[in-house]
Amino acid sequence: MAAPAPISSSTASSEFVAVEGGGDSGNAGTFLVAAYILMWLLLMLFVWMTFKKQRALRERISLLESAVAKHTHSSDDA
Amino acid sequence: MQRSRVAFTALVSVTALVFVYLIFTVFLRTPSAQMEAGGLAQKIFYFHVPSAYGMYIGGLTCALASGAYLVRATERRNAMARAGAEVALIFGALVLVSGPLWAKKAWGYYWTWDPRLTSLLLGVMIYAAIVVLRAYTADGEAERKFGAALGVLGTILLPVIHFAVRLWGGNHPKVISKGGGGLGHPAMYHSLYVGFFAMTLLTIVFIWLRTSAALDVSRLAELEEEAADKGLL
Repeated sequence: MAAPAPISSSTASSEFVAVEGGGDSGNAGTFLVAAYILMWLLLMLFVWMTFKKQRALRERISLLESAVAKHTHSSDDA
Repeated sequence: MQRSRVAFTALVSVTALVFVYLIFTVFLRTPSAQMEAGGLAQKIFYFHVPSAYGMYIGGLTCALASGAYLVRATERRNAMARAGAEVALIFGALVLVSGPLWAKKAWGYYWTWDPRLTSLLLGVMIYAAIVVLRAYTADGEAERKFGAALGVLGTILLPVIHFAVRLWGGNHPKVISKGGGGLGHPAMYHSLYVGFFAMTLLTIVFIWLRTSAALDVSRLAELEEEAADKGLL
């Protein structure tokens, strides 16, 4: 596969011109949808990992808190 | 605690509503751009640029909290520094995922070693290094301080990323920054501003969530120490 021809800064778009009624040009819609799906998947994965981590942490914290409290009470009783 | 939960729920609700409006305005009310800018794929811009802005907010939070931690160490500052780096990493990843797909349509290839792209990749790698360091090493004072120093130093790169196009040129367009031609329709500006607002809210939600998770990690470490002292572990 040939290397892509570089785009110079003078030819790269420096403004976005509105094209009213512009439909899908070639496969532009595919790239747009792929980008949105990947972005949302990444965000959902991040949120899911955060909640999973926090749930595990809070379960462990409440377990340890009750164990420490029980131990403190039993020491006081003794 | 209860008030904080209500505030967080309200923030998440507002963020969700703003995102629904953003999707509506980007897809249904904003015109496509010219073919050279990617045509319909140019609409990635309304999430791509605000994601980069989200990365800046995360990075800045990381740097400020890290600097504050180095001055006076507290659990909250440590938690915020950690959260800032994690949020900068996730938003940096969003930029790195969306950018190449837009570039493929507009430029004809996914990636090029242009100054903006290269400096952004380097910035994301620095935040990834902080996250990995904090996740897979002990949570001692030395590790926290090293992570904080890296957080401050890593954020020095953010202005370099931001001004890379102006300083060294390259392929990356400079449409809305100084010297750029701007957006050709009021709806384009509207979508971009809504995008910035939505990503700012999402950044705050994520920093809040991850700070809370980092505080739980610290609390768990304290409890484990206490339990070990009592012979429970």
